[in-house]
Amino acid sequence: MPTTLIPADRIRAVMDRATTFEGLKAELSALVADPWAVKLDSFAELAVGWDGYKAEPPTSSVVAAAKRFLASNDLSPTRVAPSVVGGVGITFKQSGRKAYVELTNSGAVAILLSDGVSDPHTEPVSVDDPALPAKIREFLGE
Amino acid sequence: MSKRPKAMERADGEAEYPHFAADEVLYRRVPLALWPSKDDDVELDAIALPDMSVARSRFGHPEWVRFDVVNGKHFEEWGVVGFEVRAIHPRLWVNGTDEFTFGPAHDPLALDYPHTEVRVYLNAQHVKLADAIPHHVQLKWRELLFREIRRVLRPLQEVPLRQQRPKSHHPESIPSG
Repeated sequence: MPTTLIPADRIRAVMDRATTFEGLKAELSALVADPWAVKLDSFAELAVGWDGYKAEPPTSSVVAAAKRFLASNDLSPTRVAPSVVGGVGITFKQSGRKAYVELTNSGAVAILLSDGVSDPHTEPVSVDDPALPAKIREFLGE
Repeated sequence: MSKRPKAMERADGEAEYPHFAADEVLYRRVPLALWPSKDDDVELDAIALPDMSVARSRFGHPEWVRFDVVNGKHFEEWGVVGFEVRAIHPRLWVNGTDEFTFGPAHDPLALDYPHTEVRVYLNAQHVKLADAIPHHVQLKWRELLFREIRRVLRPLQEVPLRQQRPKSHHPESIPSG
């Protein structure tokens, strides 16, 4: 059983895309099995300027890297979203602390660790670094 | 789609107004893809790099930001965030040698007089941040701004479209919808 509630807007998006009942069933099954992967796949529908300004949609390689990272550990993001700088942002939050991993279309990846008050810490990272999930978990106090 | 207020337009011969009060508010629209409902919240992924388009409270209301005059669109359900000019982190040093400074620049468009950009300068020369500063350093600047962001109009929030420009740079109360 999934332990995370799926937001209504994501269910609505799946319903809007489906053209047949069988297709809808398949998409809803995938959404329950791996909701973040389904959300990442939905970024393919974004066009240049999707933010109402000039944002580029995430590239397929950035989406693939984000999926690889999420599949490589048991961390539970609170949010996975396209970034207006061109890429994907993955947010983890716990007890007022935030870890944010951003993968950009240019290939740069960085992490931000913030308690919302003191100077935020940022550094370049690799989503394939096996130590990255532990760094996030440690900062969040999990 | 509602009609864009005439008062948004730049009048004939209307000059730029380069002065910004520290408590003037700069508004920016946020797509439903990032802020889908009033029960959700915006995050760092919605904060752009300079040059970042915004609109200044001295000459426009937050609901005006829902008009994209460049592409002739009206995003009437999108949320709008705002931050005061003094919230812009003014300076970043990179490698101890390069001093980047940040600030607003009034950049009126023919159909959007309040249009403004938050720009970045290297040694007083206007540059593009994405090309000039490492990604992890940019991320810090964006987080510092994000902490100061106010939620001005929630997604799907209906507000009457004001037709006259504001009386001052101090944001006026949002009329009830």
